[in-house]
Amino acid sequence: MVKKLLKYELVSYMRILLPIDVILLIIAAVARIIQFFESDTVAYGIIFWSSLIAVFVGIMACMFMSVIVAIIRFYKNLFTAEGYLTFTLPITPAQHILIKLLGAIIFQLIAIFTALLALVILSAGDVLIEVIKAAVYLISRFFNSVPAEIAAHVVLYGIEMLILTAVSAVFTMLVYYTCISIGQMARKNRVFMAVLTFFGYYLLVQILSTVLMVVFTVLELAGVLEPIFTFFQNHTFASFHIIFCTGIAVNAGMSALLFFINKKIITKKLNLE
Amino acid sequence: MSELLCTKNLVKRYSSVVALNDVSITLTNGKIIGILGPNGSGKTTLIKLINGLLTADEGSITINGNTPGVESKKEVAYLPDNNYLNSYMTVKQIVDFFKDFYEDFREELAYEMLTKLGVSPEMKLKTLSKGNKEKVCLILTMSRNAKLYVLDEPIAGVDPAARDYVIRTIINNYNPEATVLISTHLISDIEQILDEVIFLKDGKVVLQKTVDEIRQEHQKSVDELFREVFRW
Amino acid sequence: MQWKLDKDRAICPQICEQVCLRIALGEFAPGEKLLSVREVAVAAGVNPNTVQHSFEILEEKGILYSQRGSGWYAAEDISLAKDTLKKMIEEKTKAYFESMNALGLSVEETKKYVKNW
Repeated sequence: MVKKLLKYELVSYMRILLPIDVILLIIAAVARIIQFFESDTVAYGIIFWSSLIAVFVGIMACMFMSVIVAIIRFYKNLFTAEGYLTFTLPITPAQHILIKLLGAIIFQLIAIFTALLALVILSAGDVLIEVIKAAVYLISRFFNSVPAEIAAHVVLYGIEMLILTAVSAVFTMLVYYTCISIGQMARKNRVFMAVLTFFGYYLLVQILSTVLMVVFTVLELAGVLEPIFTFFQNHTFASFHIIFCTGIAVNAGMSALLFFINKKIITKKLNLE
Repeated sequence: MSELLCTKNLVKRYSSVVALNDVSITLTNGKIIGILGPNGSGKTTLIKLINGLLTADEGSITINGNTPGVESKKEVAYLPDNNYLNSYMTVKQIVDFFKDFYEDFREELAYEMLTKLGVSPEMKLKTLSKGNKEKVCLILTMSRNAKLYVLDEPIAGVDPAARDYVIRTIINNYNPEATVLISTHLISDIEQILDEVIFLKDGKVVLQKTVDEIRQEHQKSVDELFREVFRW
Repeated sequence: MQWKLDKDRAICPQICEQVCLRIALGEFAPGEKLLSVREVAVAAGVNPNTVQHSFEILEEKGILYSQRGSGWYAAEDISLAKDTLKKMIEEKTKAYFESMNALGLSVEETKKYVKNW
């Protein structure tokens, strides 16, 4: 049942996002073709730079749309007239949220992949070969020049950063979802209430981070943080692992909390017009 | 006769407005039951609560022993009163969707009815006329072999021919073991297919009786009694 | 034949009358299988439970009989159905005379009027 719903979810994303991805790839291909007519004329310069700008705008649009479409879909499929069908399916609220989240993340990955592919197309030929060569050279030189222990740390950092990015992407989506779920509890102006909730959340984050900064500075001036700094200096490699892993844990914990809040709202406070 | 739907002291408020006030009803199997009341009497709110699209502030609902949830949704076929289907889908896609999610969906029956209606599977929902779209929604709902059918205003705003179509489609396709709950404010059109009626007024149940009881006790048709109860 | 029902009267007796009428006029021969409960319900646009109930009443009167799993049949003896038809004719006639009376014609005058029709 969940698999089937995920299938429909992906199809509905594909309807909107696939054309955008295809357009981006076409723009990249056109930009690449333009390069074959290289000349010193001003006209070529204008066209060349416009085509480059078009590709980068396309990449931004592609990334941006994958998030926007996921947000709109969450609202539309669950909390508007479509919700009458969605919520009469024999599927639990937790499964609904999970499917929405999975679909959003899958299409964000596809957007990233498409952006990379666009860059590959744009630089296809000698430039691409040079870039790959340079990258391979730099990486191999790095691993040859540093001790195996440090190399292992660096590889681990890479993996930790990837996980951190993924978890924070999930967390960010869940923030949007939670705002929408809270917004729908209002009788009127649900979208407005969702936006308001988001700004409330944003403000809260700003205040919290300012407070933390102040506390941090005060503690630093008081010399309380000295042992921590000493620890970081003595264990440089370990401390970065600690930072990354804490980041992953905090994001994962917050995500779990938001997931739970969404589930509770949909189970107890669903309010379809 | 077993209890199919049971609500106890149901209360639903929208901020300060009380939409349902202490609603307790019990429905048994094998009946066609009308929820009758003027607009704003709480019919749709009650129906949404049964389908888990709203949650009650107080009281409880059980459907065949389950509170609204995954198990109840397997057994309840619901026809909302709004246009809830994604209009970019084709008729075939929406039939497949129902087939994928409802184990009790009778695909052959659905196509048989769609063919009779003259709607081909390749047609997109948005190209259908308003009347046909409503009929397709009804066909999808009645193609399920459910225990409880909940139809919200199925004959509101349709012409007499379409109304007959709706009534025939309901009678022809519901399982005699099942119960059909129909909400409407057009009583005279639907009176002859009802076993029982529930009158809702300002969120309260003012009467739940069989049609025979009404005829015997009040010497009136349901429509006449309705006009009397709701006169203002 | 259409299943015409009067909205002001209870449905059950009307279904009974209509079935008797069809048997008496030979639409269903003695011993012939009738339409199913659901078919009658759909044709008349009424609740299948009501039709079922009507058939059961007719069975009690000996106008119909049922066979487990196969449906409803007209009884071999159609005199009972014919009685019902006769009653319907009588009632209609009576109602006609009453309505003519309301228009100021006595029974005799009405008879004369019908004769010259």
